[in-house]
Formats: sequence, C-alpha cells, structure tokens
Amino acid sequence: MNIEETQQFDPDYVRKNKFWKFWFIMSLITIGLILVVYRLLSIQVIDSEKYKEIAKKQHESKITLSSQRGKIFDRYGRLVASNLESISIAVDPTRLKNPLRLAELIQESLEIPKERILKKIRSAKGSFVWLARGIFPEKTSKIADLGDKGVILIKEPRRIYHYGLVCSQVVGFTDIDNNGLSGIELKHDSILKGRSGYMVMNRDGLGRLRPAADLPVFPAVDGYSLKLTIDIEFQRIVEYELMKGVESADAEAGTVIAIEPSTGEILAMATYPTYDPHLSSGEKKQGNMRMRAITDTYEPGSTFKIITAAAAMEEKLVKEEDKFNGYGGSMQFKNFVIRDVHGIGVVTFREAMEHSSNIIMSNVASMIPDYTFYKYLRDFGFGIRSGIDFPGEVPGKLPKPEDYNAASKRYMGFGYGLSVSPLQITNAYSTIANNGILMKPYLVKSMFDLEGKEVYSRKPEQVRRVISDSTAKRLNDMLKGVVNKGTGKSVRVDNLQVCGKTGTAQQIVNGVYSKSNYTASFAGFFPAENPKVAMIVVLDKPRSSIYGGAVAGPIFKNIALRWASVSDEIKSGNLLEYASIDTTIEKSDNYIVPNFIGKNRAEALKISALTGLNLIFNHENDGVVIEQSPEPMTHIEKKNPINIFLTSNERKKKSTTDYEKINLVGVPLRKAIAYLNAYSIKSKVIGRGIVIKQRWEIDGNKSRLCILECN
Amino acid sequence: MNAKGHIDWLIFIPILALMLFSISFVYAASAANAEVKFGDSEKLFLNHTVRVIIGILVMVIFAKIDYHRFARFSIWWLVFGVILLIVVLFVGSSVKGASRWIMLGPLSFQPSEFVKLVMVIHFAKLLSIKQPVIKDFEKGFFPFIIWTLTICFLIAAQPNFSTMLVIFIIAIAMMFIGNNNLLHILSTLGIGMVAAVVYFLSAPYRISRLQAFLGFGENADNQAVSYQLNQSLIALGNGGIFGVGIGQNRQSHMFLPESYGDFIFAIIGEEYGFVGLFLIVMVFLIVFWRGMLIAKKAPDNFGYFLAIGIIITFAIYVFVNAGVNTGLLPTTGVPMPFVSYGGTAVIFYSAAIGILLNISSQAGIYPRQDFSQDDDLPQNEGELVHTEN
Repeated sequence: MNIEETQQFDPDYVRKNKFWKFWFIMSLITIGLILVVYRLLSIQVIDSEKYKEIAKKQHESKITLSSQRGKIFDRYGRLVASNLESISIAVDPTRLKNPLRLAELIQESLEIPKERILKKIRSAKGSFVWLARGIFPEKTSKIADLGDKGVILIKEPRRIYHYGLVCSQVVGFTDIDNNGLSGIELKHDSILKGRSGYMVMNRDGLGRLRPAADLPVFPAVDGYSLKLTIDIEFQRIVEYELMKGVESADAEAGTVIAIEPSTGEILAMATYPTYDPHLSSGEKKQGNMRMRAITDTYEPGSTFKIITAAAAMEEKLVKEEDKFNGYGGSMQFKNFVIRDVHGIGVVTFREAMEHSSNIIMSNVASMIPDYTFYKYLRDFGFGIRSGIDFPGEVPGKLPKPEDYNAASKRYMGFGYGLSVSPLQITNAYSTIANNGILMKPYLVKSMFDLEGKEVYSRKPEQVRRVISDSTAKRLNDMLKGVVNKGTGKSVRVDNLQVCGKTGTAQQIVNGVYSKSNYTASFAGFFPAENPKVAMIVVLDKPRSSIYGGAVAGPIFKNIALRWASVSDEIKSGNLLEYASIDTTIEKSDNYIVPNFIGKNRAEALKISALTGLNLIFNHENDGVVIEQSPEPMTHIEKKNPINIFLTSNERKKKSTTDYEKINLVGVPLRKAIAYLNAYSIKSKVIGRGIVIKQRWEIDGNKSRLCILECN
Repeated sequence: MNAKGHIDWLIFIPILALMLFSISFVYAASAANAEVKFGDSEKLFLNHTVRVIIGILVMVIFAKIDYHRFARFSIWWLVFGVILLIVVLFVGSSVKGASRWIMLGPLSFQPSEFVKLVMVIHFAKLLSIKQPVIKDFEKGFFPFIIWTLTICFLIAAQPNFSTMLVIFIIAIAMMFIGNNNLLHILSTLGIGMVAAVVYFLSAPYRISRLQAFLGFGENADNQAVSYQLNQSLIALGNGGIFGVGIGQNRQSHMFLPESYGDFIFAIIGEEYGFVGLFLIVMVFLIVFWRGMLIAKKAPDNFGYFLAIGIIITFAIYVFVNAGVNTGLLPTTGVPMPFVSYGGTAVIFYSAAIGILLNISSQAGIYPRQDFSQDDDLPQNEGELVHTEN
C-alpha cells in the first residue's frame, strides 16, 4: 500500500461499490427461507393428511371399558359368585430397573419363588409380561411403593365364589380374563359378560392418558346377573353327604341331582370329587370338573324297573296284584339266563317290584309291544337330551324297536342294554312324582340387570304327559312299598315318607359285564304326598358294598333327613323366597370355611389368599395343618379369622423328651392321631372318642409309643 | 451523523410482537414438559416471561445508547469473552455432555452468546478502520482470522459444533461483505471446511445425525435423531393450513423433544398452521429488509458493518432453525431468535436489536418526510440492485 492509494482512498467506497456483497448474502438467506416456505407448503398443505393420520395414531389411545360380569345368586337370592377388585402385576422388562428387588418383594408378599419371577422377566420378549394376576390389593401395596417405572399394576375384576367348593361344578369358573370356562359361567357367558365398550383418550409421549371431551366414548354394558334354581344350603348338604358317602363307600366318584318335580327346577346338583373354583386352571383336576349327573351315562339297572312298570300299567297289561312267577331266581332262555340276587317264587307284581326281581320285570317287559315300549321310554325322556341349560348334556343310548333282538326288551325291562344319564332317571322319577307330567329341567330361574330389574324370568315348562294321573299315583304307592318293605329299607326316614328304588348295575368293561365294577344308585322322591324333591344318588365303582341300597341309599336318606329339617324352616318362614335381592351391597362376608387339614402352610396360605380369609397360625414355621377352627364347610364372616394349628418341623428335630410335653388329653381321638402321625410317633389306642389319658412307652424297636386311652 | 431521528418502527414493532407472542408460544410448548420436569406447568413460561420483560428493557436501553460507544473498548470486550470461553471449559456446567454454561447463582449464562455479539461489534470496528488496508493479508486479514479461529477453537472444545459453525459463517460473511481479499476468504473457507469435516467426524453422534438426515445407517442415535425430526414433521403436518388452535398442540406433550427450545417452530406450526409460520417468516424478512436499509443509511462504516453483522447473525439463526425444523438441514441445536425459550440468549438478542435500532435512529430514515426529501433516494434504490462497478 502506498501513499497515493491511501490518499485516493474513499471511506465510502466499500458501502457504495461493495453493497452488492451484502445483498448477495441476504439473497442467499432469502432463497433459503423461500425453500423453508416451500417445505412448509409440502408438509402442512400437500402431505398434511398423512401427518394428521400419524399424529392421531400417536395422540389417541383406545381404552377398553370392561363391563362388569353379572353375579350369580341361588334361588333365595344368596350370593354365590361375584366380582372383587384385584390387582394384576406385569412388568416392562425394558424399563425395569431392579428385577431382583421386585422378585424378592413378590416372593415375600405373594409366596411365589423369586427364581420363577426372574425367569419370567428374563425370558420375556417385548415390553410387557404378566407376573401375577388377580392379587388382593392389600398384598400389592409394597410392590406399588417400589416406584419402579417398569412395574405395571393393573386393576382387574376377579371372580370370587362365596361358597368355595360348594356348587363349583354347577356354577363353573372363569379364566383370568373372566371368560366363562365351565358350568353356568360357560353356558351363559355372553349374558353374564355383557358387552365391553371403549373410550378414546389423549395420550402423551410418556404414554399417559387423559380423557378428552371431544373424543368418542362407547360405554360398556354390564352383564346380567343370574338367579339359579339351586338352593345353596341344600346344595351344601348334598355335597357334604355325597362326600361322606363316596369316601365311606370307597367309590371312585359319586353324583347327585335333585329336582323339584312340579317345576323341573334343579335344586341341587353335585359330583364328588369336586374342585376349588379359585384355583388356576392348571391346578384343577380335569376329571373333577365334569358334572357327571349330566355329562356321563351308565346302565341304570333296577332303578329303571319303574319305567317298565309305568308302561305296563298305563297300557293296562298288569295290575299290582297280578301274580308272577320268580322261578326261584334263575330263568333260562335259548341263549341267555336271567338271574335274581334273591330268588323268589310266585309273588304279586307289587312284591316283585319291592324285591327288585329281574326275571319278573323282564317278563313284564316282554308283554309290552316293541313300539309301545319304545314310546314310553322315549316319552320319559330317554335317548334324547332334556334341553337343560347346562353345557355338555349327553342323550344316552336308547335302541330303536327295529334294532331289537329277542333279549333286548327283556334286558331293558330291568335296566340293561341302554345307557342313560342320572338326570334322565331323575326326570323320569320326577314325572311319576308330578302325577305323570314330564317337566323340562332348568337351572336359571331369572336374569336381572345391575339395578335389580328383572329382564327375564323362566316359567316351568311342561314337556308332555307321559302317564295318567292314576298310574302315577299307583307307581308312587309301589315305590313307597320298596322303601317300606323292600330293597330300599335303608332309606326309611322317620316322619318323612320317601319313595324310591335301588339300583345296582354291572358296568361293561372291555365289552363284558364286569364282576367287580358296579354302579350303585338310588332314585326316588319325597315326601310321597305332594313330592317336593326328586333325586338320584349314583356311585361309581363303590368298593365297600356294590348294592345301591347299601351305599347310595344312606346318602339319599341323609340328604332327605336334613332336607326335612331345613325345609321346615323355609316352609314356616318363607322369608327368603320373597326377600328382595340386594345387588348394590356386596355380601362378601359370608364364606364357607375351606378344608385346610392335611395341607401345608404354603397351601393353606394360598387357599386363604384366594378367598381373602384371615388365617392365624399357632406358630411361624412350616408344618402340616392338623386342626382348624371353625371346622370345614361351616359359615364364617370374612372379618373373623380362622385358627390353624400346624405341626412343627422344628420341634420334630428337638430331643425326645419334648414329646412328653405334648398334651393330648381332652383332644378328639381323630385329631390326636393326626397330630402324632405328623410327628411320626406311633400310637396305640384304647377305646374311642375323646382322649382321657395319655402315657408314653418304649416299644420293642426302641421307638416311642404313645398310649391313648379314650372314653 | 449525530442528528437523532426516530428508531425504525418497522424493526421495533415486529421484534416486540415476536417477543410478546413468544410468551404464548413458549407457554403452549413448555407446559407439559414443565409439568413433568418440575411439577409446575407454568415454571418455564414464567421464567421466559421475566426474560422477555428484561429483554424489552434491554432493547430500549441499548436503543438509547449511541452505538459508537461500543467501538472504543470492543477489543477488551472480546478479550473478556474469550476468557469466559476458556473459563467455561473448566467450570462450566455440563448439559448433555457439553460444557456450555456458566452458572451465576440462579442464572445460567452462555459465554458463546456473549462472544457472538462482541465479536460482531469488534469485527464491525475492525472492518471500518481497516478499510484502507483491507486487501492486505497481514494488516487486513490476519486480525480477523486470528479472532475467528481462537473463538471457533474454544467453542469447538466445549464441544458445540452448531454454534461454532454459525459463528464461523457470521465471521466469514462479515469479512466477505467487508471486502476482504476474496482469495484469503476462499482459502480460509477451504481450510475451515476441512477442519470442520475432521471435527465433525470426530464425534460419532454427529455422524449418526448426518446419517439420519441423509436417511441411511441404523443405530440408536440415528433413531433418536430421526425420531426428533419425525416428531417435528408430525407437528407441522398435524397443524395443516390453519393449525389446531392456540394451546391445542399435542406434540409438546412429551412427543417432540426440545418442543419449547430448538423445535418451537414446529409447535407453532402445529398450533397456528402454515399461515402462522408464513407470517413469522415474513416478519423476519421485513426485519432483515429494514436491516439492510438501515445498514445502507448508517451514518458511518462502523454503523454499516455493525448493522450487517447483526442482521446476518439473525438471518443465519432463523434460516438454520427453520431448516432443521422442516428437515431441510441436519438436526442441530440452534434456537429461533426471539421465539424459542432461550434463557439468557434473549437478553443478548435484545441488546443486538437495541444497537440496530440506535443505528436506525441515526440513519435518518425517519421521519418519513426526511426520507422523501432525500435527494439520494433514487440513487439509493438503484444501488440496492446495483452490481459490481
């Protein structure tokens, strides 16, 4: 730079001549902003709909509004099944901070091993996995306090059965998502379930939801509640007696069905062994879920003889006093022999029925024309489904006349060669009790909405008149004789006239009638005048005795006996029948005490968790329950705890001198023995009843022996 | 030159309007975030409101201060700024892995914002006094490039790539308009480009951001960056032509990260639609256009370069932010001046506009009658479209 240039320098030169450079830069930026506007046009105007759709997808969330499942009541409005608010625990493994801590908490409060929880979390794919469902809220408070963002707690209604095991096969159960899986729950699933709705809510980027007034809502419709024809108290008696009967007869299974003859309403229906509806599906025994009274068939044997008699008497082929020859208990045909258990000679038809003669009934059956015989069997409801509102009904097998051979009718005459369900036999006896009119059996009396408004009410439905009024009365009289003078003597009840018939049928095993597998049954109704209950007791493969009169009869009798005492109360008061059903208040405090005896601590806790009952243990360690108070199958209010007496593993290890501190005086013998068995202590018993004296001895094997003396 | 006229209302009023509207914008865009982060949906809104009020005061005060007073100690301000940049490397509070902030009690302060402003002032002064020797490498180019490199190096060390790049571009643009030797500038640009590429590639997250922008490569960063851009586009698209309505945006509800900061443009687009954003771009264009007029009419070279520096700074910020929000440019953290929730930056923006307003008051373009009586007017207009002599 030289002086000339400096002198020539114009300070405004750059502003005058180089302003275009600024202009150039600003033009570039302006072009850039025009590009921005162009982009905005394409995003906000041309492609706007596409983005609006994506936005809607991420801003809105459709929430299912679950409907409340309808409740189930018994015929007198006692709550059998309802819903309880429960909490289900799930995790988002991708957000879970401390799986170990969570697993430990779950183990602590829910008694689920933490290894299983950790395995579930680790093996999970995606961002959602259930850990435990249907937990009582008070048990999840610690988990909620954990504050881990990966833990998801969801409120879910959970089905609760207030009578536990009682009526479980009739009512059935639901899966964890409250879909009915068996029994009434399955049959009327759609009615109980109602219809779920949905609601669209605003969602933010964290997945939080907020309701918005302008978004659509489709409300849920709650399910209807059902009122069953079952009398739950009677059902309880039936189940208890059946359980006792099956156990003492050492039978494989047993079933009972009781119907009100005048209406066809099922009063009680049970199968033993049964199951606890609160257990998860995997824990229930598949075979125990079947309602055998409806789903199983058997050859009825002697209980069927009254049907033969009904046909013959209605057709005026025989009268009660007609004489028949019993051939001393054995009758030879061309290629088969019919035998009686107790051979008889010439007797009246009435006596033949009382002594349950196969030979005479077979001869009477052979007197009836094929099609007539078939018509009566059909009219009584054999070989077809009754149409009862319960899943899994079977029609049984009734041979058609064109398929008869020489022996068919003779065998059917005393209940072989056809298969029937216990329900069909009960219906037939009910028809006789109802003066010859067959009623359609049913289980659901009425349906009503959550407000208690009745939406459906079932009226008794006549199927047909099968026999005349007078024939029915004569058959009633004959059945009375069976109980009073014949094979049904074991069923006699003071002050209650029972009508009925025993049945002992051989079962077919591999195509041959077995000599060891029998079906023992007793069918009948009571009281004889204006019968209120028609009922059958069927035992499958009893071992202590094969005869219906010996094993099924006592069960029938005990039920009838207890029905008589309970029903008096109902008859006199008639209170419950008209008591309005209170659907607004949960009657959840009425529980039947479960049986804890023989279970270990963890199992007992599990059962109590399912029902929400409080248990008080005698100590803090593991052990086997040997005593409980109150006793199983009794009523309890939820707030009252159940005392559980456990054996102690710890004490087992202590020195033998401690044994002598065990004081069993005053304890019932049965419990005392259970207690000693739990400690593996041998015992010797003198007498029966309550322990009055106890002493210790060393036996030959140098092991301790406890001598219990009872009064 | 010292004849005091009015400030340019066509700059003051649009900027004031933007600042006041930004209160509403920030409230709508920050409420959900503030609720989640602080449990108080109005916290960020109130912070911003306070800063806007302070900003307006600062703008008015700076409009009253004769801009020539800044020329005198500009170098010392810049030295102070550089020291702050060094200090922040050691005591700065870290946000997302970068030390960009100095905490002064409850206030956070970003030295790069301060340096940007004082660099513009100092460069304006340097350009005005170096004009006679501007083509010379040693006297005309060296002082600028030393400052530029020092500042860029210190900001890159934070690390803060976007701010560094923006400051570099501002510096180069000012040197270009200031008639520095084009050869020097181009070679600097070339070296700078190489350095920038090397620096850019040194951080994996920047590579993945670029990959995300160009639409290839699969990794978490890529997804996070694509996520942000996608959410921005969803916000804009959801707004459509007229928007979903004031306070009705959904994207700020934890969908779009930085919804009240660098991505407020998209949220405004959702609430006010294309129409709203178009108006905002137009308002900025008016400000830039008036800024050019002020520069041209500035009483002296210092005022001329100062106005240019300020205008270019804002123009670059507006373009980069709008470009990022619309997916035109790779995602980078640059705020929208006067609109974003900007913390202390609002104060510096206001100061810069205040200075511009002071220049305008001395430019003699107001009152209007003065303008019409100006003999130079036709000539000026000619010069606006004038090309190289």
